[in-house]
Amino acid sequence: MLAAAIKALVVAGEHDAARERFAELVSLQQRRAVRIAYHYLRDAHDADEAVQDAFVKVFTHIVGYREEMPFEVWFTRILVNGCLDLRKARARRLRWMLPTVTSDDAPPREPVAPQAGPEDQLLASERGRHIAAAVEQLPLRQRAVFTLCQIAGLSAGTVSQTLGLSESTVRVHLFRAIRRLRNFLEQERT
Amino acid sequence: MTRHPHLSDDQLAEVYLHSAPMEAERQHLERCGLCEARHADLAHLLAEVTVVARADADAACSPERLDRQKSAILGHIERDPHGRVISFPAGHTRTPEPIHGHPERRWIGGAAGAGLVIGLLGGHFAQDLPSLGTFPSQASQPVAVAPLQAGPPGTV
Repeated sequence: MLAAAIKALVVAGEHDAARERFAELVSLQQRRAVRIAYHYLRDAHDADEAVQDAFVKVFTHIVGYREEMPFEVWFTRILVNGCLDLRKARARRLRWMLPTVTSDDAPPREPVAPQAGPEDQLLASERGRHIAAAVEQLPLRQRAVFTLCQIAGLSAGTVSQTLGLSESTVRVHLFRAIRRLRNFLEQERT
Repeated sequence: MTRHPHLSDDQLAEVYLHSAPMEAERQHLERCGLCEARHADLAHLLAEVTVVARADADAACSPERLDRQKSAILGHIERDPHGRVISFPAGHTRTPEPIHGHPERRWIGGAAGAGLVIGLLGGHFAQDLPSLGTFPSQASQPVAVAPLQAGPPGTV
């Protein structure tokens, strides 16, 4: 609905109003977009770049947005394609270059709030590290489906439209991802 | 054909994830303590994984960073609504270190060196083995030269 309203404003030439509504849209979608991009790219700066690029593309192509398609599908598709392009570019770059980021000069993580919540405490625990490692070792397609379904909270139907897969294929990848996660975590426990 | 007495792992996942009702499986879960316990384990595991995966991404991108990101997006579409993005933020960009200068220059140097070596070796072999390309009969055959007819002096 919001995307359709922004499109109407842009078509009417009311660019200031369109930008104001677009700011609302960014606020609504931003956190989820960052989670998706981060799990594709495993790098906060690349995720930043992918998310910014996706939002700018959405605004510049909003006139081409078709209202019959859910906005989440359109936006997530743009974001995922951008993430895949960045991954390819990074692989090409690393083929020729040696990254100089070491533990000493790597950008510091954003400071964590002094009163960490239960989620942060779980993440910092050994169990949390195992779980994060388990998600990271999933093959790309399974990780993509798991990220979109479980972490971004999209339905299997939305994920199937986003990735261009049938719903049953999405479920198969999701079940395999769950099985793999469980096996990995059980092995870690023993 | 007899039905399997318990639900499979995939059926349990389907019950947990599927929004549509799966009556037969749900009824089984109400009757079967073992499957109910497995279902609870799976639900706990997936909830835990989801919380950790979200917290992992959120830890890499604080609310302040999200604010900066949003400002950058809005600033960009205001300045240049048709352009492309950008590395963000300006600080903390990775600067990969070249292995030895530019890779293009390495290629050019390598190709020139290889060309030189091939040329030298080719020349060496061509000099050492001049008769390899000719037949012995041809090599030993004297060349017939037509006698020159002497013309009058001054003619060409």
